[in-house]
Amino acid sequence: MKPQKKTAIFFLFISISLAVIFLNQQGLLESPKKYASFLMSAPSKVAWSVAGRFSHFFSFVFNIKNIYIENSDLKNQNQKLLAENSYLGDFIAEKSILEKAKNIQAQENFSWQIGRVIGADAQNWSGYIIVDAGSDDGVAVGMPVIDENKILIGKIAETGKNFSKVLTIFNSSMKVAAKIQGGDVFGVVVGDYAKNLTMDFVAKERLLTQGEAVLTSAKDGVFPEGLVIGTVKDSKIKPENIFQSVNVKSELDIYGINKVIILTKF
Amino acid sequence: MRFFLLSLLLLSVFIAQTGFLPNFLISSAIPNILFVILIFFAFGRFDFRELMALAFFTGILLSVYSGSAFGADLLAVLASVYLVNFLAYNFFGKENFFVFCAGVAVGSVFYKIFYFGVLKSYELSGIAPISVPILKLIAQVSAISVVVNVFSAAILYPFLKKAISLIQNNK
Repeated sequence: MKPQKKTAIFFLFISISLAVIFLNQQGLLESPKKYASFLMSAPSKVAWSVAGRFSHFFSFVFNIKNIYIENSDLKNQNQKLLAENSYLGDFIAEKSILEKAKNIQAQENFSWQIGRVIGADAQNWSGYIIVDAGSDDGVAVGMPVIDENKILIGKIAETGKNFSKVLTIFNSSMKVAAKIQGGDVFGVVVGDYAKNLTMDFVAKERLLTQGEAVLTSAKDGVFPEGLVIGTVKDSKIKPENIFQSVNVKSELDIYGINKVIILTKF
Repeated sequence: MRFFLLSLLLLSVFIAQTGFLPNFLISSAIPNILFVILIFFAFGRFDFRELMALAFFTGILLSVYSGSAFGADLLAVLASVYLVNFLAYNFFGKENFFVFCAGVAVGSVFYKIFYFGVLKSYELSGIAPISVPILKLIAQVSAISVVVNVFSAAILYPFLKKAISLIQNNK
């Protein structure tokens, strides 16, 4: 085929693509997209569960060295925590009754739906998973999604009858109002396409230490307060900037999640 | 019939890529098997219109299941496949294992550049509320993705040759 004809065909397909993008911007492709996702959800569910069984074996083999190092670190950390625990014991005893009452009251206001992960985006840098709970299960767009340890995963971005797409915190369009544990430092956590989390708009005066917990602050009205986002890794303070930028380390492994908790009411 | 079989092949690979492969990350990257197969097709095995139609179909699949702005994958796939097809006819010469791997590497680099370029244009035009630190992403994300794609291409090459010869015998 002549190069000119190939170029013409290429630009024809580009034009069709631009038309499709335009139709999507106008919201005219929502039904076909949902129908396509519905058709794909069943085979994806099967593929995900089969893969899970194989991956456990392979990840064990490849991670033996990491497991040994992690075990040594955890033992050291455990000893430090035991020493702290004895010191804080008295304070904890006094606060525990008040904390339990507060937690129970908070938890009683949570309604949730369990969702099983059945797929992920085809390219892993956009941080996106698919679960098998949808509008038939009471799930709606915007609902927060956490794991069983109350670590924030993200929020519901799209729903179908029996599936939903979860936009994770690593996606750059997700912005989460956050605070440093202790309650006096606030900011906004944003992901990027390379699985990094950054907390912006943090007051420069507050010096942060590595390992301080970063939690949701509920100031955005999207996520309840107190969900774990990660820990402080390091921070950048430039004299000419009004705020400091904090790198947040997340322990969340998106592709290791099998079940999620969708907060349908909080 | 052949186009139908090829579309079915791509759809099956797509299900594996979204449902199976994320559990087997290689240094935080998933091989883009769909793209590797398209590059294989781009080395002159099919009519150019068929190739573009398959690239369009693949791009639509990737866009629907992508967490980023709709259409970026679609445009990036079309542009990369066209470019590799152009290079295959005008530069690479006769296709073999090493030429194919080189094509995958070049195609993957251009795919990332086109993909993040489209996202950046979305950001600048306000179409999507995203933030794209384009140079940082190309450096951080693209390098390992290219390596992973070439590694997958090296493993898949003999199987793809066999599969395509079976499909072409059914035309």
